Amino acid sequence: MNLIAILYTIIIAFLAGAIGAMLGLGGGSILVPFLDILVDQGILEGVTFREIIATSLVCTVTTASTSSSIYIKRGITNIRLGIFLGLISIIGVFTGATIMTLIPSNFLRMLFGILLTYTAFNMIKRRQKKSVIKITNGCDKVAEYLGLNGSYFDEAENKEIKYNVRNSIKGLLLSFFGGLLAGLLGIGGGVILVPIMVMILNVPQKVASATSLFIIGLNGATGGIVYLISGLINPYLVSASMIGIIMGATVGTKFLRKLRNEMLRRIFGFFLIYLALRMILKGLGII
Amino acid sequence: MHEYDVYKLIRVGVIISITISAIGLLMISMGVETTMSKNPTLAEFISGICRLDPLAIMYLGIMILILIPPATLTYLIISYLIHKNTNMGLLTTSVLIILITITLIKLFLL
Repeated sequence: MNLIAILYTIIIAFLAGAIGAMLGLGGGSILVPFLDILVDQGILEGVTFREIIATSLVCTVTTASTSSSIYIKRGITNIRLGIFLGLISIIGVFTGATIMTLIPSNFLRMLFGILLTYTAFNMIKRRQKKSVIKITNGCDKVAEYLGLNGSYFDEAENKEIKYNVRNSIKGLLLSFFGGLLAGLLGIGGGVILVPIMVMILNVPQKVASATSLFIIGLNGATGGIVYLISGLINPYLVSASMIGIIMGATVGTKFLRKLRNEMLRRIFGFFLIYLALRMILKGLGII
Repeated sequence: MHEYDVYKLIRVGVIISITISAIGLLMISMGVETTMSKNPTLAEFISGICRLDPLAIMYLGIMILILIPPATLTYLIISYLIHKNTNMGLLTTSVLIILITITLIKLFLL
């Protein structure tokens, strides 16, 4: 990679990090199509789509670890639950990362495009609603045995929120798919892990988002190891992306919070649909 | 378990890894030549680090980043065992063992 390519990668990763932080998305879902565009433009010569996916997953370790550490400090992350779900999730990552090395790049592009379309539609239709906290007295023996139930101080509500984890075994098994998606497409897997925690495990939204970041870190590390051994880690691309994405995420979180509104989400939602369609069409060989 | 220690471990790890990767990238940008191949063996990597090869330095930064979650797990295992939380200690150990097994399978079998 030459100096121009490195600079472009840092800028693109910066944008992905900033937009991701503003919209509450993992940087990966934006970084992958952006880097793919740089390849199409001939700026990133010789970089394969698999290397882009590997770069994206390693970068999720940077962003997820940084954000996760803040939530851990605030006591929102349920580390025990994160470890519990991580047990099966990392096996999913290994499976996904292994499958990724075997299937054609264009098929991966199509899968990524479909996932991006789903993310985009969620962004367009989602309204800023107050998270509903379900406080249940239901007893899950595994959760109780491992001490997975928890509490956190909710600043908005100004009170301590207690929650009981339910359906822990079901959630554990389903976390495999979060890992599978992470390993296959280089995203963190939050798109699957958060709904599992909220809808199946009965965990409050805030705790689910914070805990998913902890698991995403684990997923990223597992995928990173597999990709590194498979020779899919491009050190130039990863280093430049890491630097760009962390700077972008910092700026996005600190200075652009005011822009986090519905209209902006919708505009970027439509932009993501464009990126998704582009990837699907490229995957089909039409463009 | 001290949440603040986990926070510090992750933060310091990320800062160190990004700094090291940035140094490697800066060296390449300044025209320092690399003699390493793009996918080096462990011996090549260690030799590259000794020679301060920019590519080896970048790999070192990436490896530190990847090792942050396993390092966090190791810290948590020790912490759970100190606080006599055997169940969580065993569960966390299981996650780490799976991670190590995956690495070994990938290295020697696949």
